[in-house]
Amino acid sequence: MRLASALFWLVLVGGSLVHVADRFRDGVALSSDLMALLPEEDGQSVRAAVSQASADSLSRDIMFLFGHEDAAVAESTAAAFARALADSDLISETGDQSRRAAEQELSALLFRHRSGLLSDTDRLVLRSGQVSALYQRALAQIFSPIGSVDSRLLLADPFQLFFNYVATLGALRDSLVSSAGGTVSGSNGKTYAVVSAKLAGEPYALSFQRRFMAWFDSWEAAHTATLSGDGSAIEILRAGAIFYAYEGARQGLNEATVIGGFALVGVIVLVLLAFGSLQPIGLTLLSILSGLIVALSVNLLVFDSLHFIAVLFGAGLIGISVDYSLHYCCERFGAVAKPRERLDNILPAATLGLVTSSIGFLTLAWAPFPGLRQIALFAAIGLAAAYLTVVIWFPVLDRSPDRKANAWLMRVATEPRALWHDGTRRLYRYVALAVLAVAAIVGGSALNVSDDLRRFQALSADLVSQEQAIREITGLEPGLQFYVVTGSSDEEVLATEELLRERLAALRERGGVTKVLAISQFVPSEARQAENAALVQQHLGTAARERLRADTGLPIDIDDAPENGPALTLDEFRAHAPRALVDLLIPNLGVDQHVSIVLLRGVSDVDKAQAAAADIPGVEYVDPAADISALFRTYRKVALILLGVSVLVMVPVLVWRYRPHGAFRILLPPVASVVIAPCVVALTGEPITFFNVMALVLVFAIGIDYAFFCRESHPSRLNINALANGLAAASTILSFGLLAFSGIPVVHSFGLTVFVGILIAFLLAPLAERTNGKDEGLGGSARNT
Amino acid sequence: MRRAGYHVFAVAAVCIFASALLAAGPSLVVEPDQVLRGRFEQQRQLSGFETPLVSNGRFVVVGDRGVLWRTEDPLQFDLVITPSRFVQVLPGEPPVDVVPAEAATIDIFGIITGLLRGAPADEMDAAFHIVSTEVAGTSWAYALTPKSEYLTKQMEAISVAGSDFVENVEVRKPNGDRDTLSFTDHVLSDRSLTDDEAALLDIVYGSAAAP
Repeated sequence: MRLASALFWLVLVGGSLVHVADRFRDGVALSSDLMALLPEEDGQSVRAAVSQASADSLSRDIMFLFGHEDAAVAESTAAAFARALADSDLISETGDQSRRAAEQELSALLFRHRSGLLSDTDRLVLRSGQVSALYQRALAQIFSPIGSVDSRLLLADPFQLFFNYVATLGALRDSLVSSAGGTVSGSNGKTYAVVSAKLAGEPYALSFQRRFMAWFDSWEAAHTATLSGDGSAIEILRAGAIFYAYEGARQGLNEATVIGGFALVGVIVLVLLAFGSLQPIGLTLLSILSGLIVALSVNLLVFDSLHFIAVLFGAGLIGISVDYSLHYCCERFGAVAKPRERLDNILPAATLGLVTSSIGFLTLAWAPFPGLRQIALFAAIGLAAAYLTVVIWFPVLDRSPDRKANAWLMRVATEPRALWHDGTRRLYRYVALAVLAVAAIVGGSALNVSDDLRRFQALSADLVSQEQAIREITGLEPGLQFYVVTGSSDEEVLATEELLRERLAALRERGGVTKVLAISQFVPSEARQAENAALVQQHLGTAARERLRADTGLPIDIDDAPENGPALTLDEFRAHAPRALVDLLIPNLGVDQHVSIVLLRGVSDVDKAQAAAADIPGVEYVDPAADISALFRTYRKVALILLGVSVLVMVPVLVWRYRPHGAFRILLPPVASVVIAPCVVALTGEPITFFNVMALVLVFAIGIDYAFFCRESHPSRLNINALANGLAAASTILSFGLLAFSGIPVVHSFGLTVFVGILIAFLLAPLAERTNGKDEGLGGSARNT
Repeated sequence: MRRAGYHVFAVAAVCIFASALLAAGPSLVVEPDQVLRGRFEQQRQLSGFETPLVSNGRFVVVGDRGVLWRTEDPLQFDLVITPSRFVQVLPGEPPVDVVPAEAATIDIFGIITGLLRGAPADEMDAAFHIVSTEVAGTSWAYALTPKSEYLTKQMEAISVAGSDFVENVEVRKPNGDRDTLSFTDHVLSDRSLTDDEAALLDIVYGSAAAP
């Protein structure tokens, strides 16, 4: 019978393994798109598509500055680099040559339609009727020593209206699509030549990262070597997501190696010390692995794709099953020879642990958040499978004889029992309680939360300072917020943008934003083009031309006003404009709607920027970083609330089995650790994030296990139980708590919470031990002794 | 990142006001606490037009703080050139930055002021090839071409001539246009600005910083 169920379970786990292997061979991509974690009804909007497209596009931008005292050296190095980069298959942007040709084509197109094109400034001046100011400005431009007039242009555009339009656009375009080949003077006397490009591959894909960085490093090695010959090396500054991602991956890998190594060595030493054999590690790994495999398999059946966050936390939560394995293995210290009896001794507590943990996880699945649902299902299924492995396989595989527990370990592990139950330790007890209370009160008052995305990653300080330097030298401002404008036609989209831009002009006056970039600045709506042409005819017609001819002596043709041809259309513009510009402002999203994007730069007043568009139909404000922060905020709150709810749901079960008094004692250790741990973390000055809350879910599930084992243990076996709890706590701290030493803030903070939480849960667990049986509940009568 | 337009001028400004360069050059130098005033005439010959665009007015070099370019004819307007900003002032209108503030040319200004103080040729040498030099008594003349590929796109050649001060500058552009500047009536004095000169500098420095 036992063998039959063991075989049956083998078939199930084996089947899951085959299923998972099969799906992975087909290329199950772990989703890393954070927006996929949003509630489903939000996930499909144009806004989400635009956010994604914009994030993708931004993440592929790279920029290099080559600085040298000798401008010629800077320029030639940059040119050589740009050529080498273009010759590699690493970037997608076309070279300089075709861009220049395209630019000329675009200028020609715009020039043909110039009668309807005005810069915002000129348009406002003409509308307000201050024509003489505009006239004087045009004249000053012609005579200014800084003026860059050109005879051909002057005749075609005597008031420089088209010139101003193109100049504005040029500046705009540059802040969008940074041009390769420009130079900037740094305040340190160096000249910097700029090279920017768009990567052909995914900057977060490890293989592309490695390929790109290998290319870059070898180029840098070859060229800095030859350049430093004249005594002054070239300075290379770089910016782009790929550099951060590469550094991050490298740091992650280094840490994983070091921390993982320590954890592994620690667990092995611990188990050898306790059991004198590595067999318990084998058993524990078997239980965790089978849990992982079954959980993956079931999740792949239920969900189309898995999110890496779900797998990460789900796998972590399956780690709870270490409690079951180690408690089973510790039974060999209890003079119980038969594996079946060993199992029977731990079964009630393990089962209760599984039930309550599953209640906890399934509560997480209540909320309509795909991420939490995946975590919940993953953890619940995985934990159940790990539990079944312990229950079904361990007695079959277990051949170990009784042995005596290591006396030293036993003394350490039973210390908490003594603290709470040994009358001679009263003083220590009060000191411990006082320490916990002070930590809770002081830390509690220092509690603060953060959902800032920047906290979730460790950015290389060197790269941050390089990016800062690039920003200072080029004057490029980071801009992440934008509006999505939708409409039923291009004309509607452009007209809506024009309305929006009027609001933003007012906001800009007040300093709420420094720059606005929109396609309607390049292509006004047809209505606006007609209005522009009429304004020019009205204010700068024949009379004004005659006057200019008299003032300058230039042979300006009085009647040579540009004729009003057909208006410039968005389609024409799209066909001739630089790809990068079009992709940014009018991306092709494959949605059945006319969509454009209005980008903001230097937003200092987010609320006002959001409010500016609030009542314009078809305009939506998007702040991707804020969206992600809001997402983590929601997850943090929801997870915390559901943790509370799951505790409440457990109460009836606990009261039924242990009566109210017993239920209270069971809940005290895990609840106290979940409440106090964040306070202790707060003492270190760190804010609480979603990741801390997930750590608390883990701490609670493990903490209640410890309490169950203490409660369900036969009075004669309480010390062995304490040893098992101690081993479980130590191994959990080794595998999760060591993450507190990570340099990645969020991982560090997760690890710290687990570390503190588990320690408190272990210390308080003996409080759940039965005291003279006075709080026996109904379920308690079935207790196995 | 776009500085074509005013690079031309900034470099011309170096030549105009500061050509203390080389073996030959102005024998008088504007110290930080001195002011150099004079008149200019600018002839702008655009290719394809017979008659040049002629303007004239006054210039003021205010020590190491900046330069005022005050066109009087055919229209009145001022240009304030400082290390951090290039500001144009039309009568009755608010001042306008003609070059975006974030693109300020501290370096170029550094050359100007450095040369004004009599700093030697090597600063100029970084940016220009010296094609020829002529010296006759106190008079001198030389021709320059820009070194960097970037500047070459903006200007082909510059020639500068003078004696105590710079008197003539010619800038030839690649499209055939030519600016000829002549400077007369130089007066070097200790720093004391008229009210309207001070007001122009105040646009950039604020009234508290006025001398």
